[in-house]
Amino acid sequence: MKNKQGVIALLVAAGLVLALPALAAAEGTYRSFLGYDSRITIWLIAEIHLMFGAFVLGVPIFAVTIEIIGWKTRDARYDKLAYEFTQLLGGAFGFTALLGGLLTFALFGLYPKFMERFSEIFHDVMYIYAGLFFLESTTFYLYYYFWNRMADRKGLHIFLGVLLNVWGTVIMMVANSWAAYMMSPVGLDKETGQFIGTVWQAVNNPLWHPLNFHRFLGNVAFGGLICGGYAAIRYLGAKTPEERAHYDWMGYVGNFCAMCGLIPLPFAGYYLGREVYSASAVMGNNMMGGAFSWTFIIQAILIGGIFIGSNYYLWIGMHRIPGAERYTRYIKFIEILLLLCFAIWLTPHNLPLSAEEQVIVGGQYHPTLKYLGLMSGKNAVVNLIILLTFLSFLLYRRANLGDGIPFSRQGARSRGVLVGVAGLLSLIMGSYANFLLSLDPVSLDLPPETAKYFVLPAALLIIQIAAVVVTVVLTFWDRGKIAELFYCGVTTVNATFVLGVYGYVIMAVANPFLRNLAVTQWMILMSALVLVTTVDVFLFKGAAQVGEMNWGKMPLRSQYVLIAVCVFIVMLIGLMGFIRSGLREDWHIYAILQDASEGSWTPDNAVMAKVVSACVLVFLAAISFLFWLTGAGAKKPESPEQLVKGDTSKAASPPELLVTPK
Amino acid sequence: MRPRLSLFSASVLTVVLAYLFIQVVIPYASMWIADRPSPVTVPAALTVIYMLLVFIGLYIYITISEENVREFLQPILEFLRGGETGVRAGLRLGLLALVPLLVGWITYDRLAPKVQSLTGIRIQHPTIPGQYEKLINPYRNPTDDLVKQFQQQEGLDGIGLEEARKRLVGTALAEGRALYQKNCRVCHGSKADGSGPMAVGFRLRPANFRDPGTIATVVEAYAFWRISEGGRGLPNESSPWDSAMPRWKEELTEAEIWKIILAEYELADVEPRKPEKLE
Repeated sequence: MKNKQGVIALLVAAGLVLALPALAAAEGTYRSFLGYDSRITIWLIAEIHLMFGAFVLGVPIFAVTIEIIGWKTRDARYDKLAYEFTQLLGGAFGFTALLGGLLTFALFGLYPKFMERFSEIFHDVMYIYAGLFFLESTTFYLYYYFWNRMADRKGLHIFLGVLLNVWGTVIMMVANSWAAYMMSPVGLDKETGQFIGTVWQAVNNPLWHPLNFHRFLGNVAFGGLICGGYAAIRYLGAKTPEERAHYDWMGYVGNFCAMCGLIPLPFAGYYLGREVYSASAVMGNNMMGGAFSWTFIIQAILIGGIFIGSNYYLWIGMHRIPGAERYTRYIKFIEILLLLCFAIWLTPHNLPLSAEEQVIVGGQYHPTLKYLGLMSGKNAVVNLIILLTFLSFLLYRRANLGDGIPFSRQGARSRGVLVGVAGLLSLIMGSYANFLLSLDPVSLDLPPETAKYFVLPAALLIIQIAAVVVTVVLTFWDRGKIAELFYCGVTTVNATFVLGVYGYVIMAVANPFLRNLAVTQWMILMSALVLVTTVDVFLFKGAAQVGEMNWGKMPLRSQYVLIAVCVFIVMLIGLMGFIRSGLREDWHIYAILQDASEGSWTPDNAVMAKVVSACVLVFLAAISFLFWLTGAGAKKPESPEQLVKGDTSKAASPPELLVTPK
Repeated sequence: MRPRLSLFSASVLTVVLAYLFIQVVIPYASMWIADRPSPVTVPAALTVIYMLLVFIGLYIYITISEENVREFLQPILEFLRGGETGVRAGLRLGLLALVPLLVGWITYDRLAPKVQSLTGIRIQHPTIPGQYEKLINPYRNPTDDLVKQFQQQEGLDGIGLEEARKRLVGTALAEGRALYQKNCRVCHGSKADGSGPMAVGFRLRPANFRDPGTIATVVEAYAFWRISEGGRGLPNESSPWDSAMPRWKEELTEAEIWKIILAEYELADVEPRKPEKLE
């Protein structure tokens, strides 16, 4: 059945490409969809298409990663899990293609003039897009249907999985180039507005790569949490302890993969936001301080829900790990800090006030709390939120591990790796510090005397390098836990407290430098994630397990949390889709081709909420249906015993962690 | 051994302390920090957000483990399942009677008609019209043509172009300062802090330009638009804007407005946002 779906989808895509010129030549500027608003029609189809797209592009990334782990560790349970993730893609591929076809029909039918103009620039790329889709679908079917047949040629099968991801990523990038071009068009005649550039110029427009990064990470997070939600539902309906154990593990892996995408996502979002502002100060102002500012408060609530939910899930999970009681007392401190960060994250600069409150507060801004609403405050706490979430993972990871082999007794390889990682981090931070110290303020349109403001971030990077050295020395001295704590502490002070406060100064006197400040904060934080992970791996090398993981022993509320964060991320992607597209306001192509249709007005939050909710409900209903189909159509999976081929000791429960120190 | 508070009592205490912190500590601290004559209340919307986070935090902490859930529920269950007579039974009866009364009162309070002002979610930066977006302050970095024109007007042919440029910026700034004090001071204050003599007369006080979230976050073209078109020129969406800003383009020339902008940023000790370069 899925074969047929795929073939139909391919035929639709091929037919559309051939029909494009004829459709584009259709007369009339705008049409309605059966008398219904054409813009809302496009919005609904495009958003649901994008949600399916995000799912089918995100899941293969971690499916093949898990398959590689299974291959390398020779553990068949990983392979089974990777197969199960891939199984979920079958129906979703067909739906994505069909929705893509419907979107193309609708665009050419409802906005013929716009599409005529658009296809004049991008028609070559559209053929490439269809070709890529063909390659992706073919690779997917080979990857999926030859899973068992290629069991003894795993390397080749993994190559197919990687290839599937390559096609998927390129497809996403091609589609991104169109969306980005509509926001930041290039290659135009300044007098006539006609396109005079090359296709590559149009593709490689200023917002292309920021959007690529953002969507790539967003897709991983989206795919992970959808799979987590799927696993949670299967856990709730599981009949046997083995089933519960399996879906408990699957839910954990989904959540873990999602967090891998979510942790760097705020930085990618910041990068995209800055470039949107650079493309147009008006779009930038509309986004954070103008017509779309309240949607960012909703975004903050949803992101807060996802981070808090994912941490909560981990914390509950620690109670099924023997030995975790050594660490559970720290959870309350992480939780308090996390909630304090979210209190700042959720505080708007521009407050909703009644007339009486306006009088008491003395205007629109609270005299002290207003500072929490500015970008510097948000940047500061988001760094701490990420670090705290990372600490939660760290505690979870070591929960059932005893002491490892002391670092001083580990071989030269361990020492080499640690020194190598530390050296690389120092080199990167040192280079950036050097760049900041030699940065000419004039290149940022700042007066020369503002160069003094670049010194502090550079100095903090150098302090951070010194902290790297101290961390390595402490680890060599078998004080790895203290080293981790020390480096996290220095990171928190530098990235959150010092640069967070310093951001307010920069905002007022040298705001273009805020971009470099954010990069400095990001670099400091990432160094902590990389260095502490490396130290932790060696710290617990060869550590004995305190006890077996009790997979399948999670309270039901933990599974409802997974379902909730799954719904949150679908809402979030719907909301962000609206913001990104809506920023163009009444322009098809920003500042070049105006949207003169009846539906060109910028929707208010009430309209946005209704349409996005409709998208969320339709997507969740459709994906649930597809998952049900997957379950109904699939033959009973092989028992873990068969998969492990004799190694029955591992069959009943999955491994204790995604990456286990050996 | 030190007596330990039960989880239930600790939770109630946390809620009370958090509420007191929001309603008492922050207002008094704000009064002290911002040098206000009276405590500055935390707005209701923020109180709701903060208290919601407190409740979420408590829920998470209590439900992380089964032991915590049991410990938290124990006094509640004991209270509800206690003896049939005595003080505790009376208390239970009173509390159970109080619940529907409380629900009834909240329902009545929400539904009964009363005089109150609306709580608006105002947008900070309304959308700038396209024709203003690309404008540049001619006095920030004057072009050679403008400098030469200035030289001719002032009879400064004897000095170099760079010296003349400095003088032009200085003159524009001085004129801008005078124009600001004459036209803007009464509302926005002599220090550009939104505390002019007429400021207290407005429900929505004039913008405090020293606040890093106001003019420092917008490009000069944006300030030019707001001064030129005033409150009447604000877009229809997200109204009412409650802005009493006059439409200054009817009183001042474009050059005068740009000079005022130059002075305004200088007075507020902030820099205008620069249109950034794409990377």
